[in-house]
Amino acid sequence: MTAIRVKGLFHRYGTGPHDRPSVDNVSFEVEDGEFYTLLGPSGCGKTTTLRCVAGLEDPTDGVIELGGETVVQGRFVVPANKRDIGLVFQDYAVWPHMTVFENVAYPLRVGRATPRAQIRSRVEEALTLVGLERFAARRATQLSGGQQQRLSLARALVRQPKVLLLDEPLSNLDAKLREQMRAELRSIQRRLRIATLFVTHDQVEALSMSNRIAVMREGRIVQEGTPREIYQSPNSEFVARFVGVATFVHGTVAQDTGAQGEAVVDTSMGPLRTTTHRPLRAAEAVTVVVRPEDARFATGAAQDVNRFEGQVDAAYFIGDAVDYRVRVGDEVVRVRGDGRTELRRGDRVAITLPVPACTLLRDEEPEPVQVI
Amino acid sequence: MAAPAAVAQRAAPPLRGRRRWLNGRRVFVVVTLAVLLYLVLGPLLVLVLGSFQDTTLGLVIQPPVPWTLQNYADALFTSALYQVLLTTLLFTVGSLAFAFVVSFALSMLIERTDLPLKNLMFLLVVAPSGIPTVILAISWSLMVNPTNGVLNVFLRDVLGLGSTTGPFNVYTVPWMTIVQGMALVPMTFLLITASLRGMSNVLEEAGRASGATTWTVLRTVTVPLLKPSIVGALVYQFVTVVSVLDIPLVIGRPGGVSVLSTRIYDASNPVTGLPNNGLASAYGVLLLLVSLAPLYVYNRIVRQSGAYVTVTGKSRAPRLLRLGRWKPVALVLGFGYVAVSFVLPGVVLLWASTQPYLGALTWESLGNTTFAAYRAIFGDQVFHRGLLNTLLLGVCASVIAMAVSTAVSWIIVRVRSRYTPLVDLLAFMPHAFPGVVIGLATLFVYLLLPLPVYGTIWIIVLAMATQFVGLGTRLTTGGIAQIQVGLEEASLMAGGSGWQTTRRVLLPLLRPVILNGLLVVFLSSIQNLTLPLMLGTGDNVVMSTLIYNRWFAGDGPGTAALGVVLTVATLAMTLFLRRSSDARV
Repeated sequence: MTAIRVKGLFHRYGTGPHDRPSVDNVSFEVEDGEFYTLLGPSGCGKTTTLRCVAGLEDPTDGVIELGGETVVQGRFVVPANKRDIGLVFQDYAVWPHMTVFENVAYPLRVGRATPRAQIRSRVEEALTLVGLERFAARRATQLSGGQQQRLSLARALVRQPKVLLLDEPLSNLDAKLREQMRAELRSIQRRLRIATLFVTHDQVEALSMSNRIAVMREGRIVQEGTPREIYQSPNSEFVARFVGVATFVHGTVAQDTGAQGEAVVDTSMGPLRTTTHRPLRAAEAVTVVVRPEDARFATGAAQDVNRFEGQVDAAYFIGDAVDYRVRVGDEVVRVRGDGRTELRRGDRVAITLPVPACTLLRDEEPEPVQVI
Repeated sequence: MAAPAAVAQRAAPPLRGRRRWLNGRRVFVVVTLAVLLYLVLGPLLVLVLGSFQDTTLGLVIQPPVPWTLQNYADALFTSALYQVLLTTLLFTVGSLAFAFVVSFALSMLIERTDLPLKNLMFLLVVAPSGIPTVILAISWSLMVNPTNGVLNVFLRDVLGLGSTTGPFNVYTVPWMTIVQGMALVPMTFLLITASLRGMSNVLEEAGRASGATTWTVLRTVTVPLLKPSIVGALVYQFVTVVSVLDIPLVIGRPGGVSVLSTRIYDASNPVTGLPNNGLASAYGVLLLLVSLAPLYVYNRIVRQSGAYVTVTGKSRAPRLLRLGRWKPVALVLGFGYVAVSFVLPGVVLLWASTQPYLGALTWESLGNTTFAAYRAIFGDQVFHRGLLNTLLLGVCASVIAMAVSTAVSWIIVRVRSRYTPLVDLLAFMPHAFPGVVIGLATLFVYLLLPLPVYGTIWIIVLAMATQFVGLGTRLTTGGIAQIQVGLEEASLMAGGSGWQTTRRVLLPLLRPVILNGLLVVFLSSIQNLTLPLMLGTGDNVVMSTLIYNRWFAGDGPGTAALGVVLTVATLAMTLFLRRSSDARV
């Protein structure tokens, strides 16, 4: 059963002819119990999409269905308070004039009235779920940031909605707390088997929590897939850059190649073997992506495939690893070395780039110039 | 992605939605804007219309309209007008200069020097805001009217002057100006003090760290930074002065002094004959133009003031200027001013209210102390009606003004639209409308509309609410802007309707701001003389008009007794208001 269905969604803030739509023909589906993530940089339209699903924003066009019920279609919109959803806000949005209990009880008291006795037990249940049962009588503002976010989650879940929406819920927490909340949030979601739409700009959150990820850019979904697909087979330089770090090597295809198998790309480093999932023509301009953790320092024989001689350009010790930049020809290849390696700037090294780890991209139009 | 064809062919699910353009939010916005337009633009339109008509037979809105320019000709082409304009100019500029020099000196003394007894002085400077201006005017008439003014009689005795009048005459432009200046001080002082307090002293410390003395920092950093707020206060008070009726009628009238606002009053409320509403509105339009000019200046200053970063974060107490041997001088001047502007009028009023008739303030006269005047007013039916009307006026005007303000501010802050700045401007307009103009325009509207409010307290309530929507929205817009929108959205997400969100989330969070606004508007309404006088018919008497009428009926002790009653009530509320709003900050 499909919990969320979004089809052909458009949203425009301004009405002028030069205003680009903030959401530009977005379609996706989230199945029951699935954890689905919209990932992208700020301004890519992910939050606007979520707010359209929530009913806090009216889309310009498109269809949204929640649990088989149409909530947006053309000129018809179901108001936010009539939608069966729970939303956790980035800045918690807990009400400062209410206690923890009152905050969580609110959704049961407004809308369809719930019997008094039931309210108490359901609020306690929700607070226990997030580990706040001991704080029921406190004022909401007396809680720490992490606790306020749990409270916000309890409030979103107490109505037992069909759909849970999470709008960057972890980004206001500090690093340690964020990691802990990440695991907790996911385990609660799994326990309740509630369809979840998660919005974030943090690739680690997206990769570690999601069943599926949609990467967004300038109002459009540019790639949709499982975390592994997104990370290991990005379909564009943008996705590869946004999800993790990588080395991009530009070149041209050496000869016509079939739909499956290996291809050879001529680069400034020399010929580079890659895997391909589509037929290639000779001389086609392409880009090859290699993740730094896949690149290795060569130890074995000189006849290894994709073996390149180079020189260490920079070495940054980051505790569990060393982030090396190795210059090969005109390219600088990032190599993630073991924390115990002690190569220095200027050392001559050989690296190998394993063929299955070299992903081939079609060259895209240059990225818009970033003004800093 | 699923096959699009399959999706399209699926049976269309039932639509439980509503039409986009007919949701509660939109209805709310439309109704609020309609009310705002009705309150603000309606009167303005009728005023302008009336000024171009021959209104001897009343205002006409159906053809044939007796269009004419005669009103403007009558208003402009009389030599009297230029005399009136000159007087208005002297009166306005003089009282503003007085108020700003005194207020600035006092707030500097209190906020930036090591003057002792600061808190007491602050209280005594602010307290007169609880005295209605009409009472202040009457009290000064009691003191310095040329024949039996208490101060004059005293001076004649002490100096051995043989004359029966003088040496001072309150019924002249200089005295009007000084009394009006004193009436302006409390509010001006509060505005300047607020911005002095809000100013981050990091800027002043940077001046000191650059090697400047405390005095140089005051001159080159503090004062220039205050410019936007001082100009803002100046414009605000300018509109107050040009539209005020209290002092021009009580002090100016007996001396034959006329200003623009009394011209409007006289034309629409002549002592004899029929009101000439056409002429009155021509004067009204002139006055409106006069008060819109400074508003333009004000807007420019405010726009520039974005460049001034004055309110930032926490700051430690600023370094205080040492007064040294000037301390006694500052103390005497400060408390001397307070004594003359607040204590003296209060004492004289109290004394006059307990005398059988007005005579000299002597030790013997204390033996004549009687509470006859109080007994007389408390037994008076008109007093009871006036009291009830005043309460109705205060409560209803403040509730209406704050309800409209809150609704309008919500639209200004929360509704994203190109037209939002227009709404903001519309709500600000009554702030710049002179009270006489609002009174006159409201009068026209209800002479025209078949609503039974003319001659009742409700016409005053509506005019008063209109007047204070401007002030109210300033307060509520700031208040709502401080409530993050997420708190309201969270309520919608929890299934709460728009009304539930308003009642259970927005209003509780906004409560301090609304309460503060209610009190301010309530207080200002019951002290206001201008609107009740413009719209009064004899039946809808309130405390301020009651006092005014008694004074001109020649009942000195009765007027003073009424004045004491009203002053005690408003003073108590003012001090309560200060305490509650100080406690919040």
